[in-house]
Amino acid sequence: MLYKLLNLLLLSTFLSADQYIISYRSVIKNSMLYSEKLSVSKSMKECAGYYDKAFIIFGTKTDTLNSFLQNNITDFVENIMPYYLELKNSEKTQNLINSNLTTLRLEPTCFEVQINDNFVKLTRIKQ
Amino acid sequence: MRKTLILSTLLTFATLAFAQDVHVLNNTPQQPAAIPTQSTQPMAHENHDTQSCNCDTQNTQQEQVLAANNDVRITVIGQGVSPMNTASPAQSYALAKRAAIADAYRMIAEKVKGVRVEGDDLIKNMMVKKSTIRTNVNALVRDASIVETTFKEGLCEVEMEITLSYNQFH
Repeated sequence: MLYKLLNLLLLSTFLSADQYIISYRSVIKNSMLYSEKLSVSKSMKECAGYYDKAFIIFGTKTDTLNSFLQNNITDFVENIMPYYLELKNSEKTQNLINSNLTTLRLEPTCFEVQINDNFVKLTRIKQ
Repeated sequence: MRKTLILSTLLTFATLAFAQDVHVLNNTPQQPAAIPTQSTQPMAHENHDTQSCNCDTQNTQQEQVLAANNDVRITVIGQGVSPMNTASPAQSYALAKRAAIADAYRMIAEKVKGVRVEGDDLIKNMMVKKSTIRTNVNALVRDASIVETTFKEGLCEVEMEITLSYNQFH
């Protein structure tokens, strides 16, 4: 009985996932990526809601989730596409010279993150 | 006796004739209602309306208006350019793809939600000094997916599609 309980505790510690708040913003100016910002921070309180479909990003293990996602940001951007992304575009044509600015933004979203050796599993928690 | 008979027959004829006149008079106001020109004009309008409605429906069929139990798939191709000063071809590809994704998102938003367009022209001494056109798109886009990505000579093209269903809006 004790062995089973210890096993369960051990398993639960291995499978424990932390909750992170992740936001992303990219600014594209004249069809070129101007700036990009990924913000990752641990959630200070437990996120309420239900789990969305999870996605996995493969890559080499790093110290922090922030650095891991920075290294694999292309995969991350492609995987967050099913979620609501806020788009703001402004285009200006002055004397037939065109310039445009597009901002794509993922608002701070709570993810449950399982960090493993060669992949990270992210599950969005829908509010 | 004869006189009374003659009078009575005359009176009956007179009343019959009057009744016919009255009947005719009663019919006369109904005639305009029965005039085809007055009644058919609205009908013609109605027909015109219905025709225009049919045209509208034909247009809407061409525009693929979202109807119940009918999904609309929108496909766009976004373009992005890789910057000049990149460390590697992989980085230029990644950055160009990011720009192309945002461009594809913008095109989807333009198609689904529309564009706000503002124009200003400054004319001085009968000459256009400054002409400015501003367009704005603000939208929240969800469930878009990349179909195909091509990268050639610093230009990345991302084919993106989104499926709109009736239930998402009702």
